[in-house]
Amino acid sequence: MQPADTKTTGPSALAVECQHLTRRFGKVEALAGVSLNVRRGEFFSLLGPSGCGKTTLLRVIAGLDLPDSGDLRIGGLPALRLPAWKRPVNTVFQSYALFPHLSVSENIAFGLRMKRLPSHDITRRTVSVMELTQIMPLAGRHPNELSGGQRQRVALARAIVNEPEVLLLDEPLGALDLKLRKELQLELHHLQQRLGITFIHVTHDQDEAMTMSDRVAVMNAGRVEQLGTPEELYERPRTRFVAQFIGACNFFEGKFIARTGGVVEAETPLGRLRVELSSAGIELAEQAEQGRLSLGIRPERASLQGGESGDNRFLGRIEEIIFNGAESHYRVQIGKTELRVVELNTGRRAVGLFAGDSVEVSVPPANVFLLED
Amino acid sequence: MAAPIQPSGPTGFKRRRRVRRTVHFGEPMPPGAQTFRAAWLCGPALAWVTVFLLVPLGFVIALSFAQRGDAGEIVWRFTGENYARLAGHGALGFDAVQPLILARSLGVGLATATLCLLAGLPVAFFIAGLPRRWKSVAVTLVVIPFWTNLLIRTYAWQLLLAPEGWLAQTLATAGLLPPGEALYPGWPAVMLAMLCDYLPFMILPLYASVEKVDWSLTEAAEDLGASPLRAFWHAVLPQIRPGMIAGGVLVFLPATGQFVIPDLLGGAKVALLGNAVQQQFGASRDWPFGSAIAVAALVVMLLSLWLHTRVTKGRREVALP
Repeated sequence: MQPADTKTTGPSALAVECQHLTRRFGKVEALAGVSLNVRRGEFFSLLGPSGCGKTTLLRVIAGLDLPDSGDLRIGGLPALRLPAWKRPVNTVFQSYALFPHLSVSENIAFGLRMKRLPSHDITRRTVSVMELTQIMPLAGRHPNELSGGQRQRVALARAIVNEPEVLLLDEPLGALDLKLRKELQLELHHLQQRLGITFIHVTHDQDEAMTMSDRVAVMNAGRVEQLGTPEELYERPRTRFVAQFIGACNFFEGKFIARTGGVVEAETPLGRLRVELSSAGIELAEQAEQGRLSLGIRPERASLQGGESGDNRFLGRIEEIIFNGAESHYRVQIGKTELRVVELNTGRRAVGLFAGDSVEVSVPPANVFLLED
Repeated sequence: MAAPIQPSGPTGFKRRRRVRRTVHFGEPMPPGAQTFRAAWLCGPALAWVTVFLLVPLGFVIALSFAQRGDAGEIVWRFTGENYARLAGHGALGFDAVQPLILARSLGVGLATATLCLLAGLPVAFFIAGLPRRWKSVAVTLVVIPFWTNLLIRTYAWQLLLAPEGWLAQTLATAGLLPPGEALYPGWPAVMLAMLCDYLPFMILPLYASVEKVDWSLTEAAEDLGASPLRAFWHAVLPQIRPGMIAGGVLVFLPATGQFVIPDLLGGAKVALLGNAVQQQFGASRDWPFGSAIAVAALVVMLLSLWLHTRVTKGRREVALP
């Protein structure tokens, strides 16, 4: 228990603080003790497969669902006792949930009307948000007369017109086609930067999370697997799940052999593999049970075109080549195991490889990562 | 020439059962939408309506402009006297009896509809919230009173509300009613019976509407700062408005013309349109005046329906510049 501190009295640098939130639906544990902090003004994504609890967490923050235990603060103030309609958050629902009996402008004005603002204020703010989201020409239409993308904009406008402390987005782009999604991803990102509102965005699309977010929490089975910037998650995934969910990855079991400085040597099915680790990584490697290590290599971090002098080198045979336009995917047999390698087709150097060719694969020690499981 | 006999296989069957669908701007339409081929199927119903509804209605309208002979026979001479009487022109100056009956009937219809709405809303939400297999049971229970004739149900109310009935007895024991007093005739008894009689007409359309309610809109409303009550008002009520209107009309129209219940439970002071019409066609033997009452009631009800649709349509757009 913390003594009374400044957090209970004034605004803090944290927009949302979750502490050990749990929520159980029958036998399913939707939230199994989630603790995370969202900073003020950041674009935060909750990323995970369906059923991982990300939407439940969002609903708990919105007040549409209550946790079984744990604590929640919004803007530094305890929020669990506030009902949904008193919380300084607004939600963009996955289904948009626009009021079918109200026009676009009335939908957007709804929140302001509930706050009983003077009507000229309502009009002014509604109009300015409609201009911001470029839906002015739709003002008099009803939701059933709108396309999916237009509905999405209206739902967004209806939420941000209230100037919430935190905007919650529940897979806001999920129902749209790919091209429109890409377009709106950028727009959402710009909008967030312009408004400075904290965004918490739920998605199962790792691409979307990486493109838009300042930080991402990867969730799995009701837990936060890893929380970090998109770069951190990609470069240093902590678990097998994260490495697999964000990008592609080759996994190997290794056995700890020796350590020289920041480099750990391991025996793997590929052969002897030198791995450059951070100090935390080295500690993890040295404490591994029976010296068993779980290692990962991103396909594009291995090279078939010769490497630097310090790289790990393995001899292998190309099993399959899949040409994919911008890049080519190679399946390389090394010893008894297989390594997937991706090369960018830059056109500068003719790779000129064919299935059946023998190749030398080089893997820089810094590009191998050690996983916790 | 002997035509080869087709084996009555599945193909022959299929051809016969093929449904012809007309396609209109790329959208399939119901088969009857464009062709009038099915129109003759409406023939029996049309004939029925013409012979037993439209022709008698025309007759009643014509009759309302005729005169009553001294012996109660119909004298076919045009006059507007029946309507003048209905509006309050009596032999001795203004007579409020007839206009009062009309107003009272509309009032009773409106009151019944309102009471049914208030009583029916919770029931509709309750049924909609039941597990699937209990819903049909609940709906059946709602409809069960119809299995008994209205007349019998109304007589049953007489028994229940009689001085010997347990209701009056209980109230008398509690000191709220003088012993030996009945709870009828009177307005409370009439309204009680009306409510019970018409409640199913309200519950069924309401329930159909409530069943379709999109509850995510309630969450959206609460998320946007609406208290639960305001969320209900702004997000749920608009969704069940069609059911409320349908139920309201279904209750209001027959309740306005009801004559069995006011007759048996209301006594002389509670005469409604139906009773007035019945009296003119029966005891008073004044068919022209009875017809005038019926026609006036019809016009007033159509007018109130029209007004209602106008009002509900008008309150949609709150325009923004």
